[in-house]
Amino acid sequence: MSELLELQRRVAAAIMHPLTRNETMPRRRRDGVSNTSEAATYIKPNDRLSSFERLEIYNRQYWFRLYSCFEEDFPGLKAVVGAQKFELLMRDYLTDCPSQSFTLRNLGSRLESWLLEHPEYLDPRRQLVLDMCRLEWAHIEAFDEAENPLLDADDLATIDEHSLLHLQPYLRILELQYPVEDLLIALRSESGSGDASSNNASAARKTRRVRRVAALEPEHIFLAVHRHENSVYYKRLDREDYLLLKALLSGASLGNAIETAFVDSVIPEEDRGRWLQQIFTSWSALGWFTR
Amino acid sequence: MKHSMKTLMVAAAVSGLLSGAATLQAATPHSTNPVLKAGKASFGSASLHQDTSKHSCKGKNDCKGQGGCKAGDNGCKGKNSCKGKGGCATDGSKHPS
Repeated sequence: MSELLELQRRVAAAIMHPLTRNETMPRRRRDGVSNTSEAATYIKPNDRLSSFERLEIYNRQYWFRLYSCFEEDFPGLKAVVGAQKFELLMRDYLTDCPSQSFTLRNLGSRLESWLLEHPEYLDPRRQLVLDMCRLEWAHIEAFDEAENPLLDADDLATIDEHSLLHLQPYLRILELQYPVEDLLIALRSESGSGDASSNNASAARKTRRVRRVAALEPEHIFLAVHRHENSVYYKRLDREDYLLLKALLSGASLGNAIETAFVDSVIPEEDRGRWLQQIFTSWSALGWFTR
Repeated sequence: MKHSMKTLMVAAAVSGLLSGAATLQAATPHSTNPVLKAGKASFGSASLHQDTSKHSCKGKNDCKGQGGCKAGDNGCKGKNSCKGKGGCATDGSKHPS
């Protein structure tokens, strides 16, 4: 191994090691390595800062960057679990599931499965917390997943009941027990309203947020999270829409997906043709079907 | 579902697909199309410019939510909006004024 590569790995190990609860660099790492001795081997002190303190700057900045991105990605989750609990959740999650990707976009990719193993962060509103987590992760994916080329005239001309229709990678569909999209939009609008610098306004916003979350009643909904003209949208779906899209996403043929959508459906048989035509018009116009 | 019924259903779906594709072809960028019901916009524009986080100078995205980062290029995640602007002195030094 080259000296440079070895140095890079040592610095990375120091910088990416979790902070203490007080947001400082630990004197000793979990594997027993002393950060004080380690820093002294490759960082010179100056007249104001020791080697440890100079390394600590980078260690803290790395984690502050992660915290900030995570907070930015999950404002709804923060509102639902509460700011204090969110802070603990964030630190525990990022310690257990540190960034492993070149992009911080993927920070929350393991959050839902991690939360399921940490019920202390789900109680007392388990389903609401999970729903919000799923919505916010779907939002991130809808925001920057790939956009594939649309079906062209030749593709459209060959579609029959056996065809497999592909959907845009950025489309996400969710079955939720709470109308969390309304809550998230309200929270985003609220935090975006003016006079952020005023303490009174900030306290009032917090009170409104707490009331909003506390008042949220369960509602079984189906949702598409998708991107249109570079913005993310939340589109409510009927049960049949959801089942149809879910079947298509799982690889069912068009004919079989349509059959699946109408299992136990309340839509009268005579209306189903018109209903299908409408939703396919809408989804096609949104550019959801791809090659 | 009877086969004849299934055929009718598929025909209706394909008819919708064609109709929607024609609508999409005819649409100009940023035009408002009555057929297009995209749903609720996920956030208000004002919220893009707020930063109430505790670590307020770090990791903020300049372009997130403003349409600059689509198609999985991950080009904007993790940029510092304050980088190079003198807002984040952390090493005990003062920024040159």
